[in-house]
Amino acid sequence: MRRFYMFLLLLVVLLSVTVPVAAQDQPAITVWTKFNSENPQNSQDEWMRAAIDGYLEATGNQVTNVFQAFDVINSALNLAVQAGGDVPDLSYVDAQFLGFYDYNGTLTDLTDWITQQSWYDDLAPGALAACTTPDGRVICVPTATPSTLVYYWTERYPDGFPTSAEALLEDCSRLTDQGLYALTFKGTESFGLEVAYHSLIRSSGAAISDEEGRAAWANEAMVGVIEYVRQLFADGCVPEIALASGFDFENSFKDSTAGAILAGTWTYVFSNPVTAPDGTLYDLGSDSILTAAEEGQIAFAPPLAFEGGSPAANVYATAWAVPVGSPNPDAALAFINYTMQSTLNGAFGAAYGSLPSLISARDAEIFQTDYWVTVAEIMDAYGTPMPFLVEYDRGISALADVFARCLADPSLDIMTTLQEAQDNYNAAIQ
Amino acid sequence: MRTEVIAPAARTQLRSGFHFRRLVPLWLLLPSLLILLFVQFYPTAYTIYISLNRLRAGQMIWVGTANFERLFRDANFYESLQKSFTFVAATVIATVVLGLLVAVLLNQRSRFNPFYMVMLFVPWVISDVVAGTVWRWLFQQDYGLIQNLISPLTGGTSLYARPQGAMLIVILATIWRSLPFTSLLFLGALQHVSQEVLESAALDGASRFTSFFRVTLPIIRPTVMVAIILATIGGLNSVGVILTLTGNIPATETASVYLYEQGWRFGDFGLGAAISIIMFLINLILTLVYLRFQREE
Repeated sequence: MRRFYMFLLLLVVLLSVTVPVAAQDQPAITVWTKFNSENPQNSQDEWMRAAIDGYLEATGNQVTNVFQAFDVINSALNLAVQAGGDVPDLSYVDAQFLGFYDYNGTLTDLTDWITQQSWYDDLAPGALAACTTPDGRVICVPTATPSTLVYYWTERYPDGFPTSAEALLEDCSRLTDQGLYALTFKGTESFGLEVAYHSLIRSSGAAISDEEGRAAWANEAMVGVIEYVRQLFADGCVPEIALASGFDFENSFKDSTAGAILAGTWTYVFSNPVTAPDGTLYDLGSDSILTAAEEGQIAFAPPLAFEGGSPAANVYATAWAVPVGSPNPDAALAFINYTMQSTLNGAFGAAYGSLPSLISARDAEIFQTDYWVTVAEIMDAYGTPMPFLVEYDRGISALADVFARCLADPSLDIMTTLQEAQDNYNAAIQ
Repeated sequence: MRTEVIAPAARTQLRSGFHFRRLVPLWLLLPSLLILLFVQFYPTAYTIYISLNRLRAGQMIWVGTANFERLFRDANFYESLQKSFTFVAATVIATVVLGLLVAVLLNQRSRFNPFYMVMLFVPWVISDVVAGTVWRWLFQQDYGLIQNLISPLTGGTSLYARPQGAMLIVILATIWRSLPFTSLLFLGALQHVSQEVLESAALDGASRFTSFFRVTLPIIRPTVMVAIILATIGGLNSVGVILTLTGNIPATETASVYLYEQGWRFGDFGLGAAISIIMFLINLILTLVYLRFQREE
């Protein structure tokens, strides 16, 4: 797998030399991303560096990448535009913030431009939809479509990962008797709500928002979800560290003391090395989990869901967007065009840990492995858009806070806490 | 007797010279006043203006006191204030008591004092983010140095996972950060306590303990008050260490972190400004209370 990454990166550089895309003089541009191209730590960072170098080689145009933390990049971009601060020419955005950006008028309308591009018809419909506002404007360019699923150690779940949340409790009892955890996940902050709780919420029939983007989470089904998660912690199915901030919760999956992890398609990029229940160490960087999977130690399942409900595999989209006030919008679009070549788009998907947004890019060899075939099957069967909230980050964070408070204090009345958070959010968006 | 008659023109000249001399201090102060107006009063006035508006799509929309009304209806804000007071009370008491103790120890003559001073100053010179990261590692569940020692007491789980534990770590890290400055303030004050006074107390039969509490402490009381004011203001406004250590979890969401969340993360400038005005008033009231208390003493 690593060799394949190297091959892809090499291809990027070769492409740059042989295919002069939009080789015209453009001013130097500044790009905000959550990828650290100056000090690469993982395949995502390396992709960004290769893309910048490749673009310079191919066109002579300079791109400066400014690294932003993954959990603040969307709000920082909106803040820069609203406050009239230093706005980048181009930015990475998460498409689940579409409503937020649209509400604030942060991003430039790209509808006319995108429909004229050669790769427009090659965009996966789901990816394009993630960047399209309810009134049909395209305000970002999707680059990949990450999703959510479950990774599990096959030795911990010899009969496969349970097909329902209720059945998981039985496995939990079996595993806790052996001094193990049934699963681990991030139980706090917006990340926790998206990756761990969203599928439970959807499958329970609970609503998160109404059609106008207002919070509508104070309902009995949501109370049931929180009670279920409370039970998971009370029964010791999940390590307590899941309630802390940060990503320490992953460690119990990495050393296989937790049988499963509620994960994103990108989790393998970061969660390594891993040690299988039989003691085999997989210390291969981003390839660790995929190699363990190839050897049958790890398998994958749809997100956790209640009986009678359908699992919800989140449909996200990573994207490029040109903020309002971008000093060099044409140069920004030229760089987007460069990265939307099928090979580069495929390389991005592989590096990010996601299916690429271009259908042709999904034909690459890397996306034919069991992992990606399973991911594609899960997304096809259970793909569910993220809830539409006018202020996405505020709304998701507020609901995540309710979970965190109710889990930390089991005596807290769930419905009252939900209602307060809902009223507070709805007052904020009026 | 001789009477000098001053011509009207000369009188006017004299008067204008007198006025000029009276205005000289004002002219000299003017540059400083203008700078102060620009860097202090303008941002304050602008914050008040923002707190009465909402920013939407780059446009300021006048909403009057709506941001304050929202804030006063928000249970999370009251909870964050409560956490701020817990945090400030714990850090101020510990910082002042430990700072005094360290200063007393450093005030003893020792050839290792320069070394101790350097060691003491390390936490003060490093950034909030570095300090937060170091403390985060100390309590990391699997390889944290302190966590390994306390694991039997916490059932193997990191203190971070529990709300009180997370708050405790934040308080400890903040005390560690602010101790050097407080100690140095106290050390400076202790070094100005007259030896004659201490010797007189000793001649009168006062023990070292009595001498410290009855003689030294009253003398350095103004410095203690300054240290309390500074530690209180610093604690109320602390954001960096908390965010680095525990992120955005509700357990450590003090009012200043809540302000950061609303204003910067969610881009709700109006509400953020309203919170900052409330925080400003709290800081002001506490400072006035301390000063009043000091004056009465």
